[in-house]
Amino acid sequence: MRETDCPTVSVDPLRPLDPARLGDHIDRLYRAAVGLCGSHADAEDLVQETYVQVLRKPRLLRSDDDLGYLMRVLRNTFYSRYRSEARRPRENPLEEHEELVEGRPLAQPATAAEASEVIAAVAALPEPYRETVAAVDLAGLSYKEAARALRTREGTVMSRLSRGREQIADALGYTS
Amino acid sequence: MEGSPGSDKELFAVAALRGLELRAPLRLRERIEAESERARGPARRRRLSLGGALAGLTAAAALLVVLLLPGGAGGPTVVEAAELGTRPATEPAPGPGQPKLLDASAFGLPFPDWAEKFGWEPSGRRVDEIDGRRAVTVFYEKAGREIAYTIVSGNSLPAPEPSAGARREGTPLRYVALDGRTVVTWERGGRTCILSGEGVAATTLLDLAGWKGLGAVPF
Repeated sequence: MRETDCPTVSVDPLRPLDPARLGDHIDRLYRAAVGLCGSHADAEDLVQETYVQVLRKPRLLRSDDDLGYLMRVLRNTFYSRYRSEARRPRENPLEEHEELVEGRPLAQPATAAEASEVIAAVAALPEPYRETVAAVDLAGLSYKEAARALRTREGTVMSRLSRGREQIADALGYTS
Repeated sequence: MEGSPGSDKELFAVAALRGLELRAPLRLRERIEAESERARGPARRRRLSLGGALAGLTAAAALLVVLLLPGGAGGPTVVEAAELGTRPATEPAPGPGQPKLLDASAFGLPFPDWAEKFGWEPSGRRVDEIDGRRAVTVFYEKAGREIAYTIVSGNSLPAPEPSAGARREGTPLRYVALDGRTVVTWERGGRTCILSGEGVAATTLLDLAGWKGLGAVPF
């Protein structure tokens, strides 16, 4: 190849990931982890493992999307270490949690049992739907952020989200 | 929060999901805070140490430091050059050359043949110019994963900051995770070499980077 044929590349600036800022995302990451795992205990382990992985070495990111990056690591960690456990049937997946679980579906005060039903409905979704609902509806990522975190396209995020939500509504006994 | 539901059924599910008030347990927060503090500690100490050292430097020395930074030295940063590894190959994979080497080289440096020892087969090649430097990249594949080995022309480039240090077969290496991609950089013959891959352990990349093939791979 002649030198004049060589493509010239421009690259977005990068910034170091600041460990001090990562603590801001614990709650949102934990929500996503509960949805993925269907268990508070597993979610706690998963979030901690995610942070340990991220903090293990210095990291550079191209955007300000720390949460999206954390979500991607959380997802990869879940699939590599926790998926087989999450697939095992649990008799009472939320029974072991002494932590507060409050829910207000449809703007009504919800009992812990109702919240448990919602979480169980998410955990029962097929994985592509589950991770999408966890990223958008539980962690609060935008479609674009979720697409980056889940390594897919925004259109795919939207369609999976729609199907996932419908299955959750069915599981919760929705009637028109 | 994005994701407006498109039907009453979705609205029902969204209301249930977003109404959940799940908070991370206090013990988890404390453990993560401890991890964050541990991660911040060494960098903070380095900064303090560097600050103390710099206090004694003259203006001329400070100017020299500025000139040695990536922009002053000319050429890309290691991070920018590592981006070439995310682009597709534009030329066929090089074949085997001398023992433990491929039939491909850049700026007098042959690329290693990792197939026999490590199972990484060459899969393609590309040549670029980036910020006035030529860069030759050879891609390797193994079990569906791809890594990229880039050699950049000209003087060596500064290692990215922050980055971690390691040593293999006597060669000092620096490595950093770049938006999910691990990047290892080191010098061979005064040139900057960069090995990067996604979903490949840093230790794997470090082992490959430092491998000398019992002297067959010139450093």
